[in-house]
Amino acid sequence: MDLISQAADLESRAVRPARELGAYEALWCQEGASFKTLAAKFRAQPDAIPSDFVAPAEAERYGRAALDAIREAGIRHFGVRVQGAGEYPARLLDAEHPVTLLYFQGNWDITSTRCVAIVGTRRPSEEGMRRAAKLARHFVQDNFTVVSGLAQGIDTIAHTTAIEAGGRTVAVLGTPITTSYPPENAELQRRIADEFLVISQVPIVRYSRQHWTGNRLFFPARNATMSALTEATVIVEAGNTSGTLIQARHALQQGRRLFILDSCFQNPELRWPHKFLERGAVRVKDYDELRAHFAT
Amino acid sequence: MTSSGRTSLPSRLTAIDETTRGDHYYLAEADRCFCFGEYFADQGWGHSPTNQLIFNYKCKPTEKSARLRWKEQAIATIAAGLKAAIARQEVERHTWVPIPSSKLPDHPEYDDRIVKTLRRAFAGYDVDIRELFRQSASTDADHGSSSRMTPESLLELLIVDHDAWDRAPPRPIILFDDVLTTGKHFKACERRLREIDPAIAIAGVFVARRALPRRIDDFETAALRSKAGRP
Repeated sequence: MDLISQAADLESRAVRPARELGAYEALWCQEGASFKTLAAKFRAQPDAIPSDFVAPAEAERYGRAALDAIREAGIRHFGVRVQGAGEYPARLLDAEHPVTLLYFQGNWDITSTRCVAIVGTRRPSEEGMRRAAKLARHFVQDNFTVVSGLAQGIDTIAHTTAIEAGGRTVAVLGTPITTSYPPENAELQRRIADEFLVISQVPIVRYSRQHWTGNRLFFPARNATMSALTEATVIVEAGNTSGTLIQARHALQQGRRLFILDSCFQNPELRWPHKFLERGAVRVKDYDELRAHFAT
Repeated sequence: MTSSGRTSLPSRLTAIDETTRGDHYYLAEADRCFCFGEYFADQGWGHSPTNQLIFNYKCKPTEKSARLRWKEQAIATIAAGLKAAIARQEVERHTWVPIPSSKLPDHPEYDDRIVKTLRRAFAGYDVDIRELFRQSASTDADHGSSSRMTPESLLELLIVDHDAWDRAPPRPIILFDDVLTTGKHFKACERRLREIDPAIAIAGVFVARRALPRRIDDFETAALRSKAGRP
């Protein structure tokens, strides 16, 4: 494939995070780039890193653009994880299209704790909000890290409750680290970045150059990473067309456990709980049932 | 809790660059330092697989034999990682120099894990592994985010073995150590070497770099600045 170079000496074989993020940004600005096409590129060249596919000057140019955007966003501390190097978590390779590079802010060490994703609709019912908060509190009490996607609704409740309960939380963004969505969660995102961990696989330059219709595809893509990063996903409440169901599909595909709250089954209009139950999801009534599953 | 931690190192080293240099106070842009993983200064969270590996690797020789078995395994893992990540010709092109133990050879806690790892990693190669340094007195080990000695006092303790230097002309030097913290030891060794040969190429290879948790970062930087008398 289109490998530019692969030198063997220590210096040029080493991963340079700033160069790699530039190369990643450059790859994303190529015509037709997607997580799927990028993953295919690296699957064909298992030892490759982004800079193997990009001319040095181009990687440098895109790297500058991304680093400038990071600085302009007021971010002083961030890092990247590159597939095949450093602390890139092997479990991310369970994803259908594993991310080649991701940005993070905060304490990466949190990924070494037991992590559970709590996800659900952006427009939850009163009851759904109460259930999400209760779950987050229980998981914190049992020393789990609560992972979610910083979206409105269930995600926001999962993050804020985990923090209020004195626990840890991780936000896996559908935007670059330089952007907040929804905007009203900007402060929450900052707090999680400062005290816990924010992760994003979304390319900064491409995101800044394209329209919302293109960028919204980054949201479901991050659900695959969120699932791969965690040992289980719990769905609190979701409609038939909810993006949450993307994560459900990925969780099962990746061999992660998928729990669906019993209340989802009691809504006759919802078809998905039964569909995922057939595929291997677990129906749970309350936290005690969940806890029993995590003990095994 | 004891476990093996990570049982293999990544196939590539990672260079310290502008995204990570801020965690290593004494390193400058021109310094060429490389590491395999990251060691997280303890905050009681996850104890990552790399932390566990380093913990086992640093286990004192005076510990119980059960613990020392984990240490042996860590040495084997790190040796295998070095061998896999660095091409033979690259290994043989350099002189490998261990950053010295904080204890003298007659101290019960003297630890030769660094040189032992290099010897194991490159066994059978035409490799130049040289213990060019020793300390004139034993000191406390520099762990985690603490930094007890100033670079000046460290430099005073650091002695070059001129006989070892004179044995053969050194090739470009790689200083090897387990954890890159502030970069103080690396810089002290570099300075001593430059006193003998101002032009020799020097790089650092480390098993892990110490990543500063966000919260104590500004605090430590401030503390170091006031100590070093820098703005």
